[in-house]
Amino acid sequence: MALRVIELALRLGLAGIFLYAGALHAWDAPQFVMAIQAYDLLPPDATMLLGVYLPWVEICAALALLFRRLYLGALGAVAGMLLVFLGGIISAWARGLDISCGCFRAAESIQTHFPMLVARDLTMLAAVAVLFALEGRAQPRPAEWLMRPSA
Amino acid sequence: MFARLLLPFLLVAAAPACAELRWEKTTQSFDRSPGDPAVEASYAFKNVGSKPVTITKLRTSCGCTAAQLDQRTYAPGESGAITARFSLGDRRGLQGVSVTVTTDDRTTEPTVLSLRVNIADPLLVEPTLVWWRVGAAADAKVVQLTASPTRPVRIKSVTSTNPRLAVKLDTAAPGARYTLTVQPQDTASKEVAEIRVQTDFPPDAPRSYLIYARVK
Amino acid sequence: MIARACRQLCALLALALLPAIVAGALQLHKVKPDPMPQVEPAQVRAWGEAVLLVDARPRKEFERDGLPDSVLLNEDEWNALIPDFLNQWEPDKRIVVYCGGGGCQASKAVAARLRTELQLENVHVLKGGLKAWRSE
Repeated sequence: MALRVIELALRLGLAGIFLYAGALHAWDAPQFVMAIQAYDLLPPDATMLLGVYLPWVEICAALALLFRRLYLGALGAVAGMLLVFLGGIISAWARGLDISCGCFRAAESIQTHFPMLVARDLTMLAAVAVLFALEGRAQPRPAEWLMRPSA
Repeated sequence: MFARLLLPFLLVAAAPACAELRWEKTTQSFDRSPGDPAVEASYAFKNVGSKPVTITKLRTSCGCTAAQLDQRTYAPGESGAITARFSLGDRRGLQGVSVTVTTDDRTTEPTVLSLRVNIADPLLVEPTLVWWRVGAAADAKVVQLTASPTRPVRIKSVTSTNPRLAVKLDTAAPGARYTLTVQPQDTASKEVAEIRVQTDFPPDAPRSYLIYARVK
Repeated sequence: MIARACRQLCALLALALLPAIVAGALQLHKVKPDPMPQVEPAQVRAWGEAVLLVDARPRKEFERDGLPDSVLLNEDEWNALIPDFLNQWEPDKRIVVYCGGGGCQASKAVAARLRTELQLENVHVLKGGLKAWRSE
């Protein structure tokens, strides 16, 4: 029972975070593109395409987590995005860049609290790992409308 | 056993939701005109936690922004505000600056306060530089002056500092579109000119625009 | 489980494509890619004297440690500084704009204005700014 509660909390927490972030980015794609540009990792065209596509991956993954559809794929997408974000943050940190927190705020060039960003993303990655592990254990699910078997 | 191992992790994950300073607004947007010296924005907050919160650092995104705070420590239930002042200088278009607020609460990440300003010029001048190479053909070059459809701008006068670079103003649509033609007498030697376009807008302090002409 | 996860991931990515295409059609015209070519410090050094270095930082920082033979041009004092910039500008020189480095945006902003307002073509931004210049 405790494991089911934890699974529900982690799933809803991750879904909420990515739904919020995705909606924010999708609403203001130009700002999100600027945030990606600040990392200085991709050519301009790739930055634009990623800036438009990534928010919708975030939203779809969040909804998939919430309603337990394409559940494993959603976990994979979230893990992939977190690894990419983490890589970008660590790269910017190593190069001494001032980057905006492109996740939850409008893009400005600011001094960033890198350890906190890394810790936050690692925490979410750990949550994904736990959800993967729990899915692997195939626990019975009580609340059907939230916990239908993954498609 | 597994559940007990996960509990502390859950608490850490939930920590950002328990931030003690609650902000009324973290993003503010303004419209300004060129010549406006600065924009000030106030970001109000309240300590909704059960412990005093001390703001330990205010970091602005550029030297053009200053942030002020009346006091550093706020008791539970106490409110305060951070004032950000963005000196606009000669900036144009959409500008964004930020103030990062760090507190002594190590479980929450710093808050970023955003200030966006749109500095819209009533008259668009394209380009602001016309130039010729020494020895090249002394062709006429054209500068387009375009006003916003909702805010007509009339050109009252055009003057050049160098009579060897002639200027001629044509009105395509009064108040809306103008064409300035600049042509040197010749390009045998280097020349410098500043062309001043005097407008009638805004009525209380009509603006003038500079166009630079060079033979290099 | 891994194979199922991969299949579902592909389905999810495909599902996200449709709203992304619609959003892109609506918003892409507002998205300005960063058109400013960046140039490495080593390349600028190789260009030698055929370069005009432009310092986009505040005046105090320029006076403190601006690069030799560089000209100050920042957005704080743009109107007052443009004549001096134009005095030093030559059509055959490449313009390289720099600021402190570490992701500061001032050099990009100044370079963008040189391109759009003055319609100068040979404008570059120094990659990594002064920080990278001095570390080489």
